Amino acid sequence: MNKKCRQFQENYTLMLLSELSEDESAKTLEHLRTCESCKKEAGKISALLELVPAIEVPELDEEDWKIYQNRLNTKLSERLAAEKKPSRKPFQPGLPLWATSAAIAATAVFLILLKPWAPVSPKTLNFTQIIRQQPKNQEEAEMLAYLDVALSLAEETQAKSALTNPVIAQELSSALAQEREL
Amino acid sequence: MIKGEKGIPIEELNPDLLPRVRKGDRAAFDELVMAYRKQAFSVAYRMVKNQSDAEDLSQEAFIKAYQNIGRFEGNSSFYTWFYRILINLCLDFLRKNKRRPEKTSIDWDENGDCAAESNPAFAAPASMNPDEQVIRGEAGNEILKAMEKLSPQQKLVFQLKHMDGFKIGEIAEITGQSEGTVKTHLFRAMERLKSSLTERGVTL
Repeated sequence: MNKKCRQFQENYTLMLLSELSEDESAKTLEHLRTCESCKKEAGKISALLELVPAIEVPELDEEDWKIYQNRLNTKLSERLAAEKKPSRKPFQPGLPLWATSAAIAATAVFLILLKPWAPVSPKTLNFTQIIRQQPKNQEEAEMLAYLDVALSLAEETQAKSALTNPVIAQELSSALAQEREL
Repeated sequence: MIKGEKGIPIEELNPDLLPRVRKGDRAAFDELVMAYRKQAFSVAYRMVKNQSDAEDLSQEAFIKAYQNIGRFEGNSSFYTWFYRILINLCLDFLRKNKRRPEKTSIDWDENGDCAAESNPAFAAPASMNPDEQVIRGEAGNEILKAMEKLSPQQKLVFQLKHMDGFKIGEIAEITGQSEGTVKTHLFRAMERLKSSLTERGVTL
């Protein structure tokens, strides 16, 4: 196919698709008179475009369009209302990023080091409280003094855990109670 | 008719319309929707071939147009800008629903043949005599099969031009391509359709 024939076929397609002016269409058709192969090809192009089945679109009646319009307006109103809602901010507005980061870091350090969630042995606390807050007599006061010495010695020898152990605390408490009875 | 009354875009017939929509005038927006909804629905339907999806997609296009009207700079006409939004939504939808069978478009029977003849969406015009209807129906089926083999770009350009009636310049604006590229897609689509039909023994 030479260049002129290719150009003709393109222009002929455009002509059938209403893309050429009257003058351009007339010039395109002139070629047909002289070129037999293009005449044949033109027939194929026409047939093809004519045979392409129309995709029929469902016809919506007035009521359908009313529903369509109402639905569209509802969707749009919802979308606009959602846009106006202030978005939730995870932290206080206006707090600079560095301050937020520092606060998070400080909290993390506090949690890791002090472990506030770790249960404190209530028996140890009670034992200490009883001994320290309610010495009944001279003997108890002396016992307290011995315990203080024992605690400081235990701290020095890294054995503090033994005294805070609830079992040991219980034993000490029992020992003290026996002492009181005596 | 694509643009509105007498082929003139509604926003040109009523130059006040778009500025009103920009200011948030919902009545002006309704007017705009009423001018374009039928064509928008048709374009979407021909692409996705399902009524409910076509309604949703065209509505979504109107909502996007309303929300982004401030970004429309007027470098192209409003309606090509709008159809660009719509077609992109339809293409996204088709991509996401690639594996979902089309509900009302081409029904393929057990032999792989297209049962378009039984589908009212593809029926031959009733004005033809029965023989002519059969011949046209068969050729039409073959063309529909061949169309499925076109590249997405060729198929889109062919549909927008031949079925939806857009001008080539408009298709170029909608798809963001040059007119030359659009023509190339169109001619290649024609060539492929012709050769597919010849291969299948359909005489044009």
